[in-house]
This record gives sequence, C-alpha cells and structure tokens, in this order.
Amino acid sequence: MYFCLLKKDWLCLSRSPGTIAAAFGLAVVCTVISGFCFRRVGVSDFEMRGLVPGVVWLSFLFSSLAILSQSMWLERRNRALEACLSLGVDGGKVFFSKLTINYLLISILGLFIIVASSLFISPLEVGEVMLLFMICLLASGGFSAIGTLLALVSGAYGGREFLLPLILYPLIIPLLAASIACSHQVLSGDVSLVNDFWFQFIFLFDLVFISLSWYLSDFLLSFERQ
Amino acid sequence: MSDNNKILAVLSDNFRLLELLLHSRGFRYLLPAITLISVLVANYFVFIGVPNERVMGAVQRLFYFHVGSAFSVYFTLGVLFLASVCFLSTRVYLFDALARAAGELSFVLASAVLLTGIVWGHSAWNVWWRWEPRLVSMLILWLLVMAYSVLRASSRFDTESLRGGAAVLGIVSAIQVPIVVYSVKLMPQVAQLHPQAVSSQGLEDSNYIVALLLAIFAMLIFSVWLLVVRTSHLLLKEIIQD
Repeated sequence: MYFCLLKKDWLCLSRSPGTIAAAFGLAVVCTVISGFCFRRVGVSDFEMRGLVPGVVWLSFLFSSLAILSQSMWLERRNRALEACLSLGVDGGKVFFSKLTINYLLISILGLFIIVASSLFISPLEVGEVMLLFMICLLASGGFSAIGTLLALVSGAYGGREFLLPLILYPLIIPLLAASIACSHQVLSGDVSLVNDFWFQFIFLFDLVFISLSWYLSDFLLSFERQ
Repeated sequence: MSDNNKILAVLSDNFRLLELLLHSRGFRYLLPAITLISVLVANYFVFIGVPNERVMGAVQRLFYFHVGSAFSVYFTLGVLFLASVCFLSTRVYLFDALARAAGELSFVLASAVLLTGIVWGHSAWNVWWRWEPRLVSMLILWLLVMAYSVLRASSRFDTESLRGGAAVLGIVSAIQVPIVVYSVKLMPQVAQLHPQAVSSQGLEDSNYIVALLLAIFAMLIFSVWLLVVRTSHLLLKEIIQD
C-alpha cells in the first residue's frame, strides 16, 4: 500500500512541474540576491566564505516552502484526501509517503542551493560540497517531517501561503542553528562531523520529530475522516 | 453497552461536571477574590514594601512583573500541552477551549516578558537587545505561541480540523520549548548580562525575596483566573453557536 501511495504522490509531483520550477527558481533568486547585497556593501571574498552557511540555509528555508505548501494542497483539491482515507487507507502511510516525496525533493533542492552558493557566493571544493550535502540530507529529514505535518494543518485554510511559514519557521529554529553550526565547521576545515555535538543534535532532532510527526499525523487525519 | 462506551460515558459525565464547576460560585467569586487580594498585596510589596534598588532605582521594580510573567508563561505552556493531548485523546471540547485559552494567554504573557525585559534591560545595560541565550529562548518561545495564536485566528469558525490541527501544533510547540532552551545555551556565547539565578546574583535583602515570591504567586493565580474566564467564555460561545 505504501508503494502505491508513493507512486501516486510521484505522479502528482510529475504533473506539477511549475511547483518544482518555482522552488528551484526561488532558490537561485535568494542566493543571487544575497550575494549581490553582501558584495554591494563591500564584504571581502574571505568574509563571503563565512556567510555561505547562513545564505545556504536561508535560501533552503524559503525555497522548500513552495514544495511543502503545494504537497498538501494537491491532496485537498477535490477532497482527494478524504476520498483516500474513506477507502480505509492508513493515515500514517498516507503521511509517510508524502513525507518521503517531500524529503527527496527538498534534499535535491539542498544540493542545488549548495552548488548555486559555490557559484554566486564563494567557491567551494568538491569535498566541502559533499559534506554540506550530507548535512543537508540529515537536516532535511526533520524539516520535511515537521513541514509535511504543518502543511497538513495549514492546508485546510485559506491563506495557507502565509500561515505555513508563520507556524513552521519558529519550530525549526534549533534545527536551523545546528545545521548552520555544522556547515560552518565544515567550511572551517573540521571534517570529523560524526563526533560533533551539533551533528548528533540534528540526528536526534530528526529521530524525535519524525516519530512525533508520524504519530500525530494519524490523529490529524482522523479529523479528516469525520 | 460495551466497556469502552461505559468508560466514555463516565468520562463525559465528569467533563460535564467540570464544565458546571467553571460556572459555580467557587470559581465565580472565590477565585477572583483570591486573585484580587494576591495582586493587591504583591503590588503593595513591590511599590511600597521594598526600597529603591541602589544602582537601577525605581526601574528595577519591573523585575518583579518580568519574573512573574516568565513563570506564568511556562505554566500556561504546560496547560496548553496537557489540554492539547487530552483533546486529541478524548475529542471533548472543554480541552480545546482550555488549550486555546492557554495559547492566547501565553502569547500575552510572553509579550509582557519581552517588553518588560527590554525596558529594564535598556535601563540597566544601555542596550535594547542582546543575543543572549535566555533572551533568544524567550523570543523563540514568543514566536511559537504567536504561531499558535495566528492558527487559531485564521478561521472564523472552529471546525474539527482546525481544533485537531491546533492541538497538534500545541503539542509540537510545547515539546520544542525544552529543546530550544537547551540548544540556545550551547550556541556561541556573548558575555551574559542577564542574571542567571536569583540566589547567586543579588536579592540578598529578604524584603526583595518576599516581594519576588509574592509577585510570582500573584501572576500565577492571575493567570489561572484569566484561564478560567477565557475558557468559560469559549464554552458559552460554543453552546450558543450549537
């Protein structure tokens, strides 16, 4: 059943290329504008390197919102979610398949942003890009979990475009801080991430919030069945 | 009647009792009386009972409202968490009303903590804001409860979906609070100006300690009274709409 739902979500995604284009376009725009603004005030090349973690994660936050808000909107259109749940499909599996697709797309978006930052902010070595992508893969788990859950919450109401960032961003501040700390460490030359506290913090954050989101999604979707 | 239905019937009767209690004379007269007396006594001690602080002068008296509000914020967040869990488990509207009241009140109290802290901080340290752990964690907490309040206000009518979504957000936000407080302390530190603990940095005079304890108690009981009033209001609104 999970793989059927995954296939369904993949098909929905493939039929909305505008959303994917918007997310990647927004990522480029955020990165370029950040680079332009900082260069304009006379920030040196060396200082720009220190700004890379902040710019990467800021662009990541803004651009991934397009993917998250659209994911649940498609489900709610024509009451498709209610129809799916009324057929007896497990709410947890519906949520987890949506989470998987969001995670995959957001991780690819993260790699794209890292490469764009290497181009427009400060050049990065291949090893640094790979390590930053590894951090992105880990952080995307917790971010996708909370984001998908809150997209489910906010998707039911008009004005979801402003509601989702308003309720999502305060919740992921610890994850954001840990990701920036890890990224800064990588760019400073410290590659021994596994023993690093902030890296372990991201891992634990993912563990707690993926489990919590999965558990709470069942309760949330039970309100949809009524 | 099955065992589960019997249990639900008993719980439902208890919750109706609880609803009646909120409109009983005890809550309608006794609680406001206790609140009024506590607030008056606390204000007497804060404004008249304790002398001006040696360095900061009269502005230091904001400290009592600041600390009292901070304690009340954590109390109302605990109520928000428990009420949200109870609502998701039982679907009884009383818990949703209590959660909504707690969320709104914690937003107001967190705003009071930040505003009094900013004014007192500027007087004491000549800065409006510093990126210190305690200030940052309260700011993030304020953002969390603001998000909850915005969600509750986003729809004119409280549908079941909105209530369920709000309960989920309340639980996730409350769980986030200890994570935020812990992780912020581990971030790169600026020289901390905010007092770390009352017992280790001042308030050696017993008058100050008594005033502080009275202020904390008064704020807590005031928060309880406001919770009861707002929850009653929401319950009555629901009855009228039904």
